[in-house]
This record gives sequence, C-alpha cells and structure tokens, in this order.
Amino acid sequence: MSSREQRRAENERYRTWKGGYRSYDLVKEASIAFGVVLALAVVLTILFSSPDEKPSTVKSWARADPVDFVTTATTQLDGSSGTGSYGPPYNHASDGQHILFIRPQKWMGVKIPIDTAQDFVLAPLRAIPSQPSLQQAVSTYESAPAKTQTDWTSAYEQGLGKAKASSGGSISMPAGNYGPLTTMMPALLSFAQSGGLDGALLTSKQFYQTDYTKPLLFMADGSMLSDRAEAEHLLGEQWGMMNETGSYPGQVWLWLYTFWYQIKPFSTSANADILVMAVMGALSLAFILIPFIPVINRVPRWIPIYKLIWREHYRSLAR
Amino acid sequence: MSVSGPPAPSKSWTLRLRERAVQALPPEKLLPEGQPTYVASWIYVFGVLSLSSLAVIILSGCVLALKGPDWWHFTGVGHFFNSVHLWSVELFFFVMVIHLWGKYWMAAWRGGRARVWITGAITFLVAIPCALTGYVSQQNFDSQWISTQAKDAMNAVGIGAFFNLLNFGQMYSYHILLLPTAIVLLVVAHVLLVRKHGVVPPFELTGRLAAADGSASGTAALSAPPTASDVPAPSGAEGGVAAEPVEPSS
Amino acid sequence: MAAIFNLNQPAHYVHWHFIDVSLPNIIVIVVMLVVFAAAILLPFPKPRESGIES
Repeated sequence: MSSREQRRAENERYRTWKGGYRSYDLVKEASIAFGVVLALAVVLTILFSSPDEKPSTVKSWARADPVDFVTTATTQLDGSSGTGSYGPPYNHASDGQHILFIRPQKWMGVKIPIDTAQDFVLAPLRAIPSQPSLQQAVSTYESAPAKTQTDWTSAYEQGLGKAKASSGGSISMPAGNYGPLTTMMPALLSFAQSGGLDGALLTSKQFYQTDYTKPLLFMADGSMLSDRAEAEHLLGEQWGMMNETGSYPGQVWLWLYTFWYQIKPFSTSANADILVMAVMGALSLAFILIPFIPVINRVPRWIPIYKLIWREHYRSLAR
Repeated sequence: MSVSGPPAPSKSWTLRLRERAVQALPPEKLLPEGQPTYVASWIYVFGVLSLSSLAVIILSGCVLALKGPDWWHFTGVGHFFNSVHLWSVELFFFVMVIHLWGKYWMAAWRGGRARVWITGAITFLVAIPCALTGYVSQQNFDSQWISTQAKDAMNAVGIGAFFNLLNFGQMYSYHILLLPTAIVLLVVAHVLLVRKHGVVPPFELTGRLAAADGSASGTAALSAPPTASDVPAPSGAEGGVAAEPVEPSS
Repeated sequence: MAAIFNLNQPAHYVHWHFIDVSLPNIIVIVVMLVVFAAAILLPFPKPRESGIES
C-alpha cells in the first residue's frame, strides 16, 4: 500500500470507535459547566464591573474645544474634511480604497449620501429662527461663486490657526477676508454649544431616530474623539483594536487583525483597510479549511501533543 | 411500522424527515449515557464550557433586551447585567479558543469529521462581528470610537453602506437577533455533528508503542460496543470499562 | 454597584519593538496558555473500577 493509501485506510478506521465505553452523565456535566461559568461571570462582575465612559456630544466638543469645532466645521463647508473627501458611501469626492483593479468601495456607490456643506453647516444654520442677519449671511455664501466661497473658507482656516478660545465659549479670530463666515461660523458654534446641533444632525430625516451617522462623522472629523482615544490607548497604531477603555481586558481575539496595521506595507498604505481585510479573509478561509490543507493538517501528528492528551489511553493499550 | 394512522400514499416529507433524523441521530446517540474510554482529559471540558458561556451570554443579553439599550447606564442592576454580559463574552472567547487549540492538536477533523471543524471555525468567525455589533451598541464613548474607526474597513470592502456601524438601530438588530441566531444555528449543527460522528478517536500509534500492544492500530477493542438491548455484564478486572451499554453499533 | 477593584484608570502597557500590548490583555493571554497546559497535563479523575458506574 502506498503511504497515501495507508493514510486513507487509517483515516477510515477513525470513523468509528470500536473500543470500550464508560458511564458518563452528559446532562450533569453540562449543568455543572453552566453553573461554573455563571459563577465565574458573576465573580468577575463583582470584582471588576464593566466600563462605561460617557459619549462625547457635539455640544461637549464645541464647549471643550471651540477652535477645533469651528475648524472642523469650516472644512465641512469647503469639503476638505475627512468625510467631505471620503468617497463612497458618502460622496463621490474620491474612489476610495482598492487592490489593483478591485474597487469594492467605488462599486458600493454613494448609498449614504452626505453633502457636508449642506448637512453639517448650511441646513442647521437655516434652521435657526429669528436671526435675519444670519440668514442673509447664509444666502450671501450660497449665492457666491465657488472660487469666492473657497477664498473665504481658506482665509478662515488660516485665521483659525491663530484663533484663541475666549471665556464665554466664543473664539477670537485675527482680522481677515472671511466674508459671511464672520457671521455664520460663530452662530454655528453657539448653536452647537446649546445642544441644538446634536438634535439638528439627528432628526433631519424623521422624528424617531436610531441612525447616528451624521453626528458621528462630524465628530470623527475633529480631534475630540481621537484625543480621548489616544489617552485610552485606542488608536490604530497603538494596537487599539485589541484594547478596552481603562484597565479592562479588551478584544484579545483581534490580535492578528490589528497586527497587520502595525507593519509595512499596511502601516503606510492608503489602502491599508482593504489590504488587511483581504489578508484576514484569506486566512479565515484557510482556517475553516484546515482539514484539507496539506502540511497544516499533519502538524498535530508531527508535534505529538496528542500523546499527552491521550496518555492514559495509550498506557491502557500497553498494559 | 412506525407510522400511526393510515399509511401515507407515497413517502411523505414528514416521514422522510423523521426517518432521516432518527437514522442519523437515534435517541441513544443524541443523549448517550457513556463516552469512549479515551475521553479522559480536562481538555475535553472546553467544548461544554463554550456552550455554557454562550448560554450565559444569551441569558444576560435577554435581561438587557428586556429593559432596552439604555437601561444599564442609569441603574446599578442594569450595570450589573451589562457586566455579566461582558465578562461572559470574555469567558466565551477564552474557553472557545482553548477548545479550538485542543481540537487542532487532536486533529479532530479525522475520520469524516471535517464538517465538525468547519462549523466550529465558522462559529468563531461569526462570533467576532457579533461582538463588534455589541461593542457599537453600548451607546457610550467606546461605541463612538469603535464605530467611527471600524467603518473604514467596512467601507473599504464595499459593505459599509449595507452594514452601517454608525447606525445604532441596525447594529442593535444585528446584535440581539440576526447574529445570535446565526451563532445558535451553527452551534446546534456543530454539536449534532459531534453527536452523530462521535468524539474523534486517538491517533494510532506507530513504531515502538504500537509493537508493544501487539497491534498496529491503536483502536484495539477492550469490549465490543454493546447494543441498546444488551444486558449489562459485570466487567471483571479490566480497568475502567463501563458495564452500562451505551452506544448502538453503527 | 461599585466594583471591588476600580479598573477605570489607564492601563499599563508593555512595549517590545513594534509590539504594544496592555497588561490586562497580556494577563489574559498568559492565563489562557497556562490553562491550556494545565488542561492537558493535569490528571483526569479515573472512573471507579468496581463495575457498575454511577
């Protein structure tokens, strides 16, 4: 018999155990196991509880760091923010990530359309009542040619680089050619600080809301969330995917997933996410198909940990 | 004849399903009173520990679902059940991975058991997005950060529009219904396959040890597998062999 | 319900080249390896030899 045929015959013998059995209570074991796990979970709960760090809001962000808020809002207005330049599913500003000719992000299309200028700045400002000068400023902005709008937003962003937060929550800007932004942006800031912008971003489609896409994207474009995350060691380059807030154990099972992001070429690639997902997809498929993968499926034979597991059985055969 | 009442004119679907189910998993195989003698290591308890952890996750999850997703932020009892849910998830991954390690080193896919491995591996892989949807359903800072970061991976592979991590309503639905259902179905298939095929026998020994026991195959029977109708006989002095009949010969 | 140990403070991290793991996570990994080794090495209680098992 060839060794392949021998292996096949051996494998056939593994189908059915023709040897001895001993008495064993399946249901009792399962009940004991359940009790043990329940007890462990309760003990861990009593010892350590669980983390619950309060979420940021646009209101808390605008109050804690008004310069960062207004800077982010201005980049939303001119489309240079992270969301504004993201591409699908939010807009067509870029094609998104790809591997060679495979462009699933582009093929997904714009299915969650977000116009950052309209949705994050202009529409909320339009919703503010009883401020005719503000509404006039917004109309001035909307009716200006694109080049003029860009001149204003670029000048404002430059000015923001030297802006300071003043007591009372506003910011003081150096002089510059900001056009209607001089009226619009402070109004958006105080709207945000009152909590109105959180609501306006959320209830734009209907009364009942469960979709936080807009306020989350707006906040993620600024530095409030990432500053908090960095302090908690949750950034991508800090292996953050594996970590939990505080000193709690995190998601240890994600170790291999986050590992790739730490090394080249992934760590410096604009297509890091699709590359890592492709690698992990391939490895996951291989993991499922281990029984059929040569060499990998023989390693347990070659490194005989099984001799420890079944040592009693082998001893009983030798008796 | 197993049919009660007038016989079906042709083989009914119900009858066919029942006969197939009973043939694959007769009651004695579904809930046996015995196990092969080689099942004698603590590594074998990690499967049932994984099942138990899943049960605690689901039970604590049900309590959280009873009161709605924001309850746990505002009451001590709610926070307690949230903690039990979180720690049972940590325990689940802990014991499931050890179970996986054990099964790999036993090459537990041998003897026609590839589907047992496959269903187990897929369960692990589905548990990961189930945990992810849980993390983004917490409605706290952790959810905000995880969702805004992980969305890039979803968008990069073209599913972000259909699986929007920033959409709490959608993520909560996946987390409390769709993904747990998938996991339970996979685990049921996994366990039924184990019951059907039995726990994988040990590797046959080769070389010196095999020669010592006088057979090349390590599966020398200590007693013939009894049928359900056997009367138990005293087992005498042979070590560790049960007198109770358990497995019907297949 | 306050926990006995308050884990709501920054964790310690272990750095080694590009590897950066939190101490709680390292503890989990080490305990997993120890439990795996123990599960394989610890003797499993033998059934009673007397014949009819409970």
